[in-house]
Amino acid sequence: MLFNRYYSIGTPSKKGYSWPRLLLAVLFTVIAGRLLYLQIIKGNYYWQRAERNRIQNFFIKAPRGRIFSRKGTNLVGNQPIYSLLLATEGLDSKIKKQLAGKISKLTGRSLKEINRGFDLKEKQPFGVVEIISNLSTEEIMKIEESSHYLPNVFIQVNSRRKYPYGDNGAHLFGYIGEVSREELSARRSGGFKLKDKIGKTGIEKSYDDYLRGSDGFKKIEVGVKGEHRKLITSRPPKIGNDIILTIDWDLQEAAYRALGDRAGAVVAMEPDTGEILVWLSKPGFNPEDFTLPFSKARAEKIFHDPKHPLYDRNIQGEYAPGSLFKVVTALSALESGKADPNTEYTCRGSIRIGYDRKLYRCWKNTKHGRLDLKDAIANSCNVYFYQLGMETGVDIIRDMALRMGFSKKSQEIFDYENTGLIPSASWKKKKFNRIWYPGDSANMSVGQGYVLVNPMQLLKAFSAVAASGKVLKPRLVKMILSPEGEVIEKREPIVEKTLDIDKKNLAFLKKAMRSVTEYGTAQYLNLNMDVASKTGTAENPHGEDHAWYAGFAPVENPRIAVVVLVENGGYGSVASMPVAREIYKAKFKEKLNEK
Amino acid sequence: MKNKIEKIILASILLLSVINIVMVASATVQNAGLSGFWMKQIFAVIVGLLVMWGIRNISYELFLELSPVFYALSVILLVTVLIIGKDVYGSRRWLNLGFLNFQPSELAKLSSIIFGAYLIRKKASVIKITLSFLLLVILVLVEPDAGTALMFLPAYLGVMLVSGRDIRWIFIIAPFTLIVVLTLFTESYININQSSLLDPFYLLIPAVITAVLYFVMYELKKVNRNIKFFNIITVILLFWASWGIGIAGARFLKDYQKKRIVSFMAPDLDPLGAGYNTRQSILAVGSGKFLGKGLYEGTQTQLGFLPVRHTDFIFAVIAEETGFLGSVAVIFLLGMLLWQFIKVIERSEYPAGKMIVSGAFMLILIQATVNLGVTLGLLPVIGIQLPFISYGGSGVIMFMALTGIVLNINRQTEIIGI
Repeated sequence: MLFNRYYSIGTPSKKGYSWPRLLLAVLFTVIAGRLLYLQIIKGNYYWQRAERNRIQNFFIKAPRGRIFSRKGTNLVGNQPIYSLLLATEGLDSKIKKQLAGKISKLTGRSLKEINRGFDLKEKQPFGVVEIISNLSTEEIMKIEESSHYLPNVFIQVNSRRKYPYGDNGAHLFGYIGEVSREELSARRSGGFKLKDKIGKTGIEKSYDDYLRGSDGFKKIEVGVKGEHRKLITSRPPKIGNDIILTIDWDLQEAAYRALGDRAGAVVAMEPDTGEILVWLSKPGFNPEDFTLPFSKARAEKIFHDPKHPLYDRNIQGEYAPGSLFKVVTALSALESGKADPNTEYTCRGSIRIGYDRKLYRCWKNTKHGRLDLKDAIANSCNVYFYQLGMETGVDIIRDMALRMGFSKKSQEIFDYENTGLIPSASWKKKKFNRIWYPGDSANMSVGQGYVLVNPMQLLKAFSAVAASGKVLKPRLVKMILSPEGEVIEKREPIVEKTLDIDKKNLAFLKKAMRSVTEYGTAQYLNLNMDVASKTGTAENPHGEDHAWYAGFAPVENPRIAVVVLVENGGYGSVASMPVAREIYKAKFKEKLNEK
Repeated sequence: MKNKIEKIILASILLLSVINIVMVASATVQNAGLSGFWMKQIFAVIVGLLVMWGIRNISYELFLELSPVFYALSVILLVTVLIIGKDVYGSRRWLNLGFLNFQPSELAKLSSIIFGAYLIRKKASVIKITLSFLLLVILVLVEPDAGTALMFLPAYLGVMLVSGRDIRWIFIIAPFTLIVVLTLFTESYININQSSLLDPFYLLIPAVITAVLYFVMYELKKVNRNIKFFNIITVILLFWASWGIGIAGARFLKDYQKKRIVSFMAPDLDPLGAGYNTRQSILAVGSGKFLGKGLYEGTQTQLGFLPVRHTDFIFAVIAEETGFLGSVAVIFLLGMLLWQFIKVIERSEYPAGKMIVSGAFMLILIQATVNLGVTLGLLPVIGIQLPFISYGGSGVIMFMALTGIVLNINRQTEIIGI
């Protein structure tokens, strides 16, 4: 029978077949041990990694809030920009080449430019790269028409910061840029990510927390080819809040036009509210240059421009105030009793001061003759003030200057203010190891010598005079609105302090400043209204004199105080006063037309 | 006692078949191109079970006597597949029979074992037997299908180890052959990457191996008097000779030949996405944790991160979706099955039967171990299926047929009543 036959060929080992048992046990133990390691010991680790494998985070950029003038002019906004993206997953170089050719043909852009985007991708083998960062509407249409032939290519909308007024107000708005590593570590709680945009200067920086929205995200389950399978969770982006500035854009534009191409600074504010109406510094820059993709050449050009366009002259510029400082000298003399309105000195065109009999000149060669304080201010007589200053002394003048806010920060909006210098005898001793000469007092009393101020400090001081001693905190922001238009915050005037100065003396000073406009150095202002003015011409060791103007109007219940600086402008009455005139004209348009 | 072995084998096979169908279904549900694969698999499993039961009832002697026919048929089909086979990714492994694709190399594995036992009974020389295996290995290698070709080795060893023939030579030749092949392959591979095994850093490898060899053999010498110092020196010299031959062989080759060797021996070794498959597989396995993510819920599987998941990486699907519990259960079932095979080897009084069961045991054990090793990241990617679990009709039916023969040998042993 077929079934029961067997052949005893071959001699099985006598030891039995222990090797199969051993082999089976060893191999399967290794397998089971590996399973134990992967699934039990490292299970959580691999589980998380598998989750990361399947879930991709997509951030949705939140547009920044917009910035408006007090009357609703949109000063800073956002513009959608369209970029062409490529999903690189699973594309070989041949397909890439074909795609580059097609895109180049469609857009008319050079193959070189397209390939630059493709090359970038080589560094990140998986994911999405930007090929073109600024698609035009025409290009978008062409690409969408032939999207069928462009696999893996898609268009993404981003928003770019838009500054429609170019360099006008650039220092006020500031600019945005990618968050730096320092900012990242300093404000980790703020939910920043690398590559996020953050305000670097100006309002963009100071009010970044309000302007910057919070990015939304989508957690999406993706398949192996990156295809979206389902939405797991999402949070919509929260648009940043809008900011209504105190700036009156009509006045700002008037100042911008009047200043023209000259370097300088113009600030104006409401003396009784502290609301800043004009904030202009020139030369400026276009903040949009910082929103474009970083270009080293462009950055070099801006950062190393000898004219310092990034410099906000309103608070970073330190200048000799020239004759504007005579207001401080006069006030200190009056308050200390060293002089009264009737105190007279004689001007013979110049005066010899000190042991060395050094000659100090008045600003004009003709003699002013005998003058009282009011006329001395009206005519800006240096010789009068040399004598008054020496009589009053450095300490008293300095004390008044400090009380009026010089040598310290004039505002809390921007943290990069330079505070200037009000000298003292001890300061000079320390700095130059020289004693304080009477000539130093003479120089100081006309705002020359060591005195350095910035335009904003001057504005604050003149506003205090205008507001009869009340010092208002300068403010740039009137309101903060939610994206839906609801008022989130409303900023009210804050009285910083009230100068402890005799009202009589302030009233006299106003009267004296009015006479400057009526028959003094600002008589050609020539406006049909009461304006208090003071002009100044500050000697500048580096070149042509700086031209100053400070003033407010109307004299009673002033609505605006203005400070104008024209660098190397020459006479204040010639270079700076006309700029202020344009601001007054814009401010009191209706009123002036009535008359 | 009676039929206990058979019952356990049958139970294991049935459970593995259920797992097979369910996991193939889960692995292919998301892929429209693979829809209906689980239906085909049910068909294959049913055919396989019927074949197994049929063969169980026919004396294995019949197959033994007919094995030259099976062997010849295998060779003919392997040649045929090279000529008219279905070209998949540059490899010809399947014959299109209209309603199904048939993989002749699976039949070849089966016939090699039975024909090997037949040749031993016919007192053929070891060289002749070895050549009979080698012919099949070469035919499968040129498909090319290095993974399957490799599986003839355990089959051969299984048969020979219980044949009573002196095959000690194999334990001397095999390791050194392996070293030559591995060195040739490695040198070719790293030559492509502008490096060489002759670099000082890589020379550390043979140095360390030499030290280990010396130490191990020196210790063995203390126990076994037959080992002389001369033997130690011979082994070490042979090792260095094989190492040198491998490197010299590779250096002799042109660059394109090296690339051909690399892509031939390790088609899955993708230098750019190095280890992608293994990485995804380990993620799938590890993330299953203790209880798994649930059937049809494995993210690695269902979202397509896991490659060739219904065939080579089916175990990763099991591990991800049923966790440690399910994975160990599968290993336990395979272990149970193989344990019964061992019992049959040990108890059978038929030398030819013993050899067939031993060949089957080794084939299943090593193929399973290599597949699991690849899936768990212990071995480089070698494309072979997990016996009884992976998708594929030819494989399932072949392994069932093989089990049928084992069942018959067991039955005949039982009838004799030892």
